[in-house]
Amino acid sequence: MEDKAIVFENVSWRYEGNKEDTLRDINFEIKAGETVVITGASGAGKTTLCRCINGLIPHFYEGTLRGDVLVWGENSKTSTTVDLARRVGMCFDNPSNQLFCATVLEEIAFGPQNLCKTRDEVMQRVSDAMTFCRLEKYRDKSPHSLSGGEKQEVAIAALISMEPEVMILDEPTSNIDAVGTGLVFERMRQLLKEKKRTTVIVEHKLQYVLPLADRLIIISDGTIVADDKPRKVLSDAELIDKVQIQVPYVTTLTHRLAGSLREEDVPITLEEGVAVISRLVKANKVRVNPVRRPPPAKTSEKPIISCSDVWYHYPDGTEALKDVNLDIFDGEFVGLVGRNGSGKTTLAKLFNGLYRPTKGKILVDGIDVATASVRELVSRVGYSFQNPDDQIFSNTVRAELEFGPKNLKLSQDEIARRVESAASEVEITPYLDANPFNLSQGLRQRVAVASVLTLNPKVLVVDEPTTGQDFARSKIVMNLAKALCDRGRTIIIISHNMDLVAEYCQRLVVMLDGQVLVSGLTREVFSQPELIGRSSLEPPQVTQVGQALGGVGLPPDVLTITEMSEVMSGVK
Amino acid sequence: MSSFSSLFRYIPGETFLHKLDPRVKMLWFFSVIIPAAAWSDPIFMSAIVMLVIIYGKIANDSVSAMLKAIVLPFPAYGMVLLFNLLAFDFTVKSMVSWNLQYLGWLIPRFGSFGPFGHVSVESLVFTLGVCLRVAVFVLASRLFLLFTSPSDIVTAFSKFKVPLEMTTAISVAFGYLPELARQVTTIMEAQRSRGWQTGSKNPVTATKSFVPVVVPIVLRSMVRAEFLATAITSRGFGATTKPITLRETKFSVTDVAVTVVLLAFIAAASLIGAWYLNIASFRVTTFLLRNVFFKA
Repeated sequence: MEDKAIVFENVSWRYEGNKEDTLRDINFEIKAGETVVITGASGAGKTTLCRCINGLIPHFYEGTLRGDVLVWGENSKTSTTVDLARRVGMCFDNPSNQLFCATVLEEIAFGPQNLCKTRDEVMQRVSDAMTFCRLEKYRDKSPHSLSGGEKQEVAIAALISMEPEVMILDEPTSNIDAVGTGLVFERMRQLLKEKKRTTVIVEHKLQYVLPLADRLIIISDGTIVADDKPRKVLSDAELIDKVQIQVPYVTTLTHRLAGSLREEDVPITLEEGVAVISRLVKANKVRVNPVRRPPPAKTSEKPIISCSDVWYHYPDGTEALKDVNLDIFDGEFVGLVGRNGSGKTTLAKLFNGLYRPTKGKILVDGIDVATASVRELVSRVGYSFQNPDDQIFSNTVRAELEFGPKNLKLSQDEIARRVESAASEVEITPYLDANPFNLSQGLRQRVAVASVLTLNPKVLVVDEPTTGQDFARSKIVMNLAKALCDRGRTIIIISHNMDLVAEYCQRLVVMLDGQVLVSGLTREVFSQPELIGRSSLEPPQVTQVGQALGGVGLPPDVLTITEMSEVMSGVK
Repeated sequence: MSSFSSLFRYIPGETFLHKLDPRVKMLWFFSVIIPAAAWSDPIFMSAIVMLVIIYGKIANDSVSAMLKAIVLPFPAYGMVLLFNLLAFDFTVKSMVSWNLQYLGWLIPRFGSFGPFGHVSVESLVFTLGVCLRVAVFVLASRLFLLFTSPSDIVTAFSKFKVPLEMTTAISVAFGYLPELARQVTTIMEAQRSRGWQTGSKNPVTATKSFVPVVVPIVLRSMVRAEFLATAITSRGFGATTKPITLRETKFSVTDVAVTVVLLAFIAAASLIGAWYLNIASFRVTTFLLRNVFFKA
């Protein structure tokens, strides 16, 4: 058997129409049975690299390929995508973009139907994959009716049923919530335990995936900047800072506390981190300082949104909200969190009149949502959707920003004033005459936010602003929201990213089964891991370190690495 | 929109209709559509509607969902009514061999303006027949998709030697419908959140008002189409021109019997119904109405 499963020899790739190479002079080998994690910032070339392995490049995408990609010794240039599909299976990032059959059964069977010789063989493979991913109960359901995590499980089952020798998982959890993420990684862990296959996993969430990895490759700007055992790569603190990837908090924390670390001391899991830090404290290499925190910032006592006994039923009868009582105060930065289907998005859509409460009362800036017009409400509560491409339609940024105020029938002077003001607020003034479709994803997201700000809302709801984005880009979005809050707007963020929520939100509202499970200061909410665990949430890893090391005097409510660095300091 | 897609999707089941060979299911569809297209008398069209509803009950469909599907093309009914009232005298009237029973004008005379739209018993009866035809089309389509999985449709087409690429495209289109519906809902909500509304009485303005929704839908669909194509390619599509079907398509005795019954029905409905009984000319309902309500 060929020992080298995948070989990249001086590979460079440029997409048709691009001025620069997306991959530049890539060289590496993956041995049979190895599990390799590839990470790097968005746009670094990770997905392109995966496409080279399964033959989509150069056979599906047009461009110029230099160098050679060998899969089990076969050159991808001379193999067809069908030849490669027999040996290399790929699971893509967004489950909705890769499921196309009417039922789960048909979805899982699609690959084997193309590759197998008999119906019995197809059905056996489908049955095995379905059992492995525990999808039997969804056999005849539409894949699109499942939750994000379940959809991705269907995609993984569809991959397994093809029995590929090489599995590629391209950011399999980037578009799903914490429950789905846990589900997918648990399935991957079982998969690798059951049968050692050659596996390539592209992922930002290193804390979940590193325990599975034999090797970690970091790509930056189309080139490989690190390729070694995970602990070895993560022992280079300088490199980690430079490439802006989100390494596990315990790794960053121990770097800060201990300075340089030996490879074998680099923790990659919570348990390892707790053990290393505990050792450092006991050896008096780290000191625990008394906690001195300023009192929480005082917020207005005037609710800008007030919900009393709010219920909401969807037209099909689904009970989405049950007896919600909640106040959002003027100028607050609030995180609305909870597992998929907990009711957070439904609640937020009641605030701007997209939905109307079935029962109960919602007052927005003193106006009753039940009787107010959508136009009255949208000028009080702006709603920025997850994907800017769901709303951008104009051929200039200026026209896009004018859309909202024009709908409100404002005067030309007022429209021009609002456009300039909103553009300045999110720093896109230089792009006002540019075509929004030519801008980067980050800039398009700013255009989408600005186009809502032109309605001059007092409250801005930002729905899942960080989904599918890397750490650095997520921070940019959250900094923008923070700046808007500092200028007096009330911000409501709907998010699954607990690290960012912990860092930015003053208050959290945790939803579960259509009800408010708990609402309180972020610090207080994360101090109750068992309670929020009921909504499948867990505190940031750094908070969990504090909670695990309460015995050595660490507080249970530390929210960020910076805070933890103040609580603990290395002894010189 | 999502409720629209839920009205037209496959629901797995073990009913008599579910178990038929996909080719027989297609024949069933035509057995309802052909008479509906050939006839126009409301009494007989109502009978076809009832027949489809009975088929629906056999397939375990709920009556309320079927009624929803009938009500769905409400705007189309309005258009049919308006068009027929305004144009009946110039179009269908030539098919009628008797004198029309006029009831009045749709738009009466105002000075030198009008009158327009001569309303007659015949034009109303004909309109009702056409509306029922639309209802049969919608209802039969719903039922066909309800008991025929997209892969069955592909199987049936492949039996008729339709190219694999085309059958796969049809299958993917059906399978992808719920996701597309979700996408359209999200885009409409995103634009409504910026104060977007429709409802202008001016048809040009009303059409233009949909640009903010249509552009993102088209662009997002194009992007998705590329992703779907890569997913399909990566799952070995093209490895064979004859993929293995999930179930054996073999004509059973039941299939043969149903085929015979359906073919007989189509022949009877088309030949006897339209030519012998002259149902196509809506004379039965008209005759009854004129002799019961307008006898004087």
